[in-house]
Amino acid sequence: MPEGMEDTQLWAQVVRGDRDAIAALYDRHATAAYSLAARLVGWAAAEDVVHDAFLVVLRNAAAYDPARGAFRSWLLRVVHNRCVNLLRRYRPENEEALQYMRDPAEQPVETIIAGLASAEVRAALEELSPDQREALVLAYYGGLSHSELAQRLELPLGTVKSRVRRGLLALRDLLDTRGVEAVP
Amino acid sequence: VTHDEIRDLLAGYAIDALTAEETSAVAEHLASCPDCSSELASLQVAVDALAGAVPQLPAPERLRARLLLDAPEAPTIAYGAPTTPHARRSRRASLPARLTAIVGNVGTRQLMRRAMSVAAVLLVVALSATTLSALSAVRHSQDELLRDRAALGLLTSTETTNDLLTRQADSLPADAHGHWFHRPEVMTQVVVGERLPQPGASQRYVVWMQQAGSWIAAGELPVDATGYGRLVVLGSDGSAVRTVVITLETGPASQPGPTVLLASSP
Repeated sequence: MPEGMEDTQLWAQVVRGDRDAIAALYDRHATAAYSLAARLVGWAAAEDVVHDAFLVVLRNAAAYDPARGAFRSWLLRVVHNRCVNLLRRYRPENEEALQYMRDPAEQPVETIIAGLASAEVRAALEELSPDQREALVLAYYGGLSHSELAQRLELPLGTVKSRVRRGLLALRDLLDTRGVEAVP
Repeated sequence: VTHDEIRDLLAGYAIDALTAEETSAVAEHLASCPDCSSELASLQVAVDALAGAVPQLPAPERLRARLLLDAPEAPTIAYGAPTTPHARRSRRASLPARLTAIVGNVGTRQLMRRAMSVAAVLLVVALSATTLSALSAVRHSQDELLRDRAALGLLTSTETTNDLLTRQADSLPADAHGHWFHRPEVMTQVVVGERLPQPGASQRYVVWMQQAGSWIAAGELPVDATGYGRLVVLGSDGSAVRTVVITLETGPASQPGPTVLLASSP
């Protein structure tokens, strides 16, 4: 199979029903997808999240437009979305369900950041204000919604939304300054 | 909702922090606002960096085999406005059965129909993850492949009922669990065990189904090195089944031995 092919070329073959191209895309991006899911919902649930995310992408081929971004970026968005939906569905009251996965929002923000593999992202997050860092990290890696964040931090909803927005904008600028590139 | 209000929500949209209503509003606005689309794209660079910053773990080998078996022959080209994962949140959940089973649905378990006059003959095919992988790779038997696809089609149907098999034995790891997938009028059931310890040399895991007051051994559940095993049961839709258990047997048995995992109707 075409290791040298760009994702856009592979995707064109996927859309035509080429199963080798599906396998090649999987081989190229499964580790990133599984790693993100495992971080949010634990390894036990990560496998099913990734499986379902790939199927969602394959079954809704028109939803992905190569002109609007990298395939991996799209896939990881689907993975993250499914992880947070899973967490939010069962987090409030279903303790039995959550015994099969850890709740990532229970970890201290410092621990979450220390566990990241990318030194550039760790450093950029450390440069955010503590309030923005806390809100952004708990929202993205903890899977907390704005309202869940407001409840957790005992802050008005508007304040939380503002911190998330300012935090992500600042992170974007910091990463840009550091030359961190977009997902290939 | 004004343009400025939507713009203030873009960061939350990019990291899945919005409500379903907010998500829908943002998605609708993005379709007609190049400025917001451009800003979202710039924020996505930071989100991509967050996604890629986690420690990289190789996905389990069996996941590849599962995906290739379940992947549609040709991806669906859905005509109409492009959708995003965020926008889809407000629609009917397309979460395949397996995913909901992972976290259980004990509270919403579907009541099983109790009247079933004829007990179906159970034709049992045991498939371990290793077997599935081999089938995927070799595809030497079209009949077998079609049968496996039927079983896996059940797993990905949103109409399938997913019952969690809960841990019943202290000897099992805390995260050991299983799933029982069934759907009325679909004559296929799938029972899965996960994180099961390797049985002893003279032991084996067996799936039992109780219906009409009797226990029927549905078949042996072979587990791979990761403790994963899958049993596909053909010939019955499970509507007459009251209880499913996985037991650890030491030899031939007419009644279930010590139960390690259990799913039962309310």
